[in-house]
Amino acid sequence: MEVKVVERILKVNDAVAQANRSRFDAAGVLAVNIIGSPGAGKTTVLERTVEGLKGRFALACIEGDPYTTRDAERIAALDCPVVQINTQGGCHLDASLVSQALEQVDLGAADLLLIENVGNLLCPSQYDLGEHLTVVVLSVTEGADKPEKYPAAFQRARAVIVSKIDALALTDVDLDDVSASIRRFNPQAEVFPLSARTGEGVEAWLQWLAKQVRAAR
Amino acid sequence: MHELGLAENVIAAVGSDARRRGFTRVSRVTLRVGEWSAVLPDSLEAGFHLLASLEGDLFAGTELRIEREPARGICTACGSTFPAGRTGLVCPACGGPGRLESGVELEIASYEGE
Repeated sequence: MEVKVVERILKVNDAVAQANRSRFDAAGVLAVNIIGSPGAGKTTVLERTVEGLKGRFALACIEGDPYTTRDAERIAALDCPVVQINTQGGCHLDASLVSQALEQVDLGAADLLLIENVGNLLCPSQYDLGEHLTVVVLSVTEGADKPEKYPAAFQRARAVIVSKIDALALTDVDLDDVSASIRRFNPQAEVFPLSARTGEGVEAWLQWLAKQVRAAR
Repeated sequence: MHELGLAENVIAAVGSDARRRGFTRVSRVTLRVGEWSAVLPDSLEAGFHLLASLEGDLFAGTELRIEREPARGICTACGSTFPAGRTGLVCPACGGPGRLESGVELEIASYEGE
């Protein structure tokens, strides 16, 4: 006998993600899932984002990492509440890991929750964490062909940060090529070329994100 | 690693549904996996058979069928649909912005049991 099922393999994850989203909505918190390769500069972008927005909004961070508390320490040094999730080698955050971390986050006191995913462009694209928007960080040193290689991550992104533009001259990457490649796989994506090191381009990203936070309140 | 976790979800979902129906054997499971789902079908299959072998009689000799769903876009300007494959989501007909219609599926489509 054939039984039609048609349910998502990640049905349990999706249910927990929905519960997370309801908690964010009830608290008026915008939740952002930050995806990118190892070394793309996610944590540095996060540092600049916390520094740039902490006077304007109440922030909180969840740091996903296979091992170590290094990233969480960097965020804590900016006086931003942060919870570290160690996946113990796991390749992505899932909704239940975030749900557990939320036990230590005062959502009522936050406007913006930044969730740094594990450094990986594959698996994180499959797992809904309950976030409102996904941001991919792509550094210029990774090359312009990443959207073509990892379409699911880019397709999911509301915004793509093209990081490390201060290193452009050391690469054969052209910013227009990167933007075109991103938009081929996600025509609606906002693209923010920036350098978290020099500060170039950071303000445009902050203004866009601030607008999303205000809209979620 | 990741595929093994997905296989675990498949076995758990199908297993509990089959037991609820009083089935003693699942002969085939059909999954729908999108071209852009970031999943390796071979790894998923290997994980499935490994876990199935630990489940005893219910999953003895169960065949896994994986249907690949191609990445397809639909143009938000002219409404035409097109393969997104390597060329992406910009409409080849009018150049308008497309959105993804299929290609990230990760679903249990059906199973056969008795």
